[in-house]
Amino acid sequence: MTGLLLVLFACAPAPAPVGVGGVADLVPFTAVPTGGAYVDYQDAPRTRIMLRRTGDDRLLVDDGGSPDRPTLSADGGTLAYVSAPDGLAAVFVFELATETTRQLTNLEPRQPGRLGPPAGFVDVPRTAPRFEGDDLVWLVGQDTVRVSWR
Amino acid sequence: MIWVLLVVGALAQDYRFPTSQADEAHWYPTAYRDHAGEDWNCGSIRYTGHRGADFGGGSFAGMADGRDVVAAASGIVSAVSDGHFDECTTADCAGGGGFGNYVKVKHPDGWNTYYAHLKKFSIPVSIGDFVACGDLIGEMGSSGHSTGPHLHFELRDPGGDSHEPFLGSCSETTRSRWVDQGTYDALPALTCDTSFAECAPVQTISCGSVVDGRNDMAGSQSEHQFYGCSEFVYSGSEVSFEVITDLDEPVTVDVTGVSADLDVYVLQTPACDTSGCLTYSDESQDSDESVTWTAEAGQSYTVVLDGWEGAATDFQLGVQCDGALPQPEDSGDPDDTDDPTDSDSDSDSDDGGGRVPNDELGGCSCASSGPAPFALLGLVLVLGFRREARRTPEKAARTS
Repeated sequence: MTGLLLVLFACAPAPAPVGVGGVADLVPFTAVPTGGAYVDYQDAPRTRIMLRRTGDDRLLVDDGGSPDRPTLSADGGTLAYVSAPDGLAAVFVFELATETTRQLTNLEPRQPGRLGPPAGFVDVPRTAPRFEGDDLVWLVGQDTVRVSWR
Repeated sequence: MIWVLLVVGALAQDYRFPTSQADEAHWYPTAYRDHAGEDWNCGSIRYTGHRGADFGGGSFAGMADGRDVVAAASGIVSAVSDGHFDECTTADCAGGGGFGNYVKVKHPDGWNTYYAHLKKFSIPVSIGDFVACGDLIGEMGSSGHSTGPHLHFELRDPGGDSHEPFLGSCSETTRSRWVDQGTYDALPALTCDTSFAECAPVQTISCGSVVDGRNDMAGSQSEHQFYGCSEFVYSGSEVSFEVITDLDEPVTVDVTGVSADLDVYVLQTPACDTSGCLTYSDESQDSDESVTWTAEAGQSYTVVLDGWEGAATDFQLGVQCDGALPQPEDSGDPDDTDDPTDSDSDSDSDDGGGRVPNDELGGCSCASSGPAPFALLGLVLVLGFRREARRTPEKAARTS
């Protein structure tokens, strides 16, 4: 695995310089190693999540919602990630064996014309969430969010 | 790249600077598109690999104050991503594939504009919504791959390739895509393109009309590529007809005798700005096409025949109307079931005397003027755009 991580890091381009006025965007990193799962930046803003384990890449998630922040469970059977296929960011899990997807947070849909979060909105993690037993865990400010993924 | 070749010669949509009049004074360019080390004016306001145009609006103080981002031209919202962290200063925050909170608008010429790094929950539009030029679509933020609050504005052709909207000595474009791009290191004007979107019918037709023609016949256009009912984009010439009926009645337009892939769209107005698309038919290859909608007496509809992937073909167009005479008001008689045009289950008894209660005629599932069909149309649009995000618009793979 160490060898794999080194390869992936080596493939990532250097960060783009900061633009004029202290503003930059679209730093094009193409591979984010997280236990073999990584984000493939096809043509920003389109992304998909791939799995690299035995030399062959396997497509895991390509849902049109710019999926990212992938992490795999300890047994490698479950992928957690963030995506917004319906326009609102949420945390999802994907079972590799059955290829089934479940949405864990933010099940209330966006409401047209409404400013502000929908009822019950849970901030998505800023980096990949952690698997801790039956829970997915991430920080929102000083608060810890725990959501069962089983 | 194929799309670039196909759209050469076609009139294209031009854009306004995407902010409101009230906020115009706050914005300034921070980084243009990168052209091998130079910006469009051969200057240095760019950074390596940058594909859009960045505009600042007063850093985080401006973001807190609110800086409007509006649609640069009319179109259909075809992608939204919202709910991502919006105070990024490190250029590597996740969300929206690097765009953070963003909106994509698909315009009548098939091109797309992107508005990226928006403020979290500032986006008042949803996938499938029509937006007119100047409509609010969000506020400046710093979400995604951003080091500070700004707007990343990007223009892409129907094939997804990014383009420079500014015309200059170091720009690859042959014409500015702004209505008025202004001077270097300043803002383009807030002027909407009013010259583009109108469809120009070659003939007014009515019930019983039969027309022989070609989609590249005299009076045809080669401007409009996207109509709003479906996600498909048409690079061929289009010819338009105005249809007016004397009665409120279902109207069917049949297109036969084609030798290439011609599709049919019905619009509520001649605007051709994606705002009034009612229904469409998109059979593949040289199949006949047929569309049915419920017309209102005296209302003008625009029927557009457009060629897929540059297709040009002869056709015969026929207009058939239900022909029902105005019906008396529903008597409420439960035995009054022998007229297939009379639906007692309809709740349109308040729909004005003399109007035919024709919502269920002919199995027509297309939109009419009532709210329920519009809801259905909205659902179709939303589902269509969700599909778009999952695949490229190749006709072989599309579903009717």
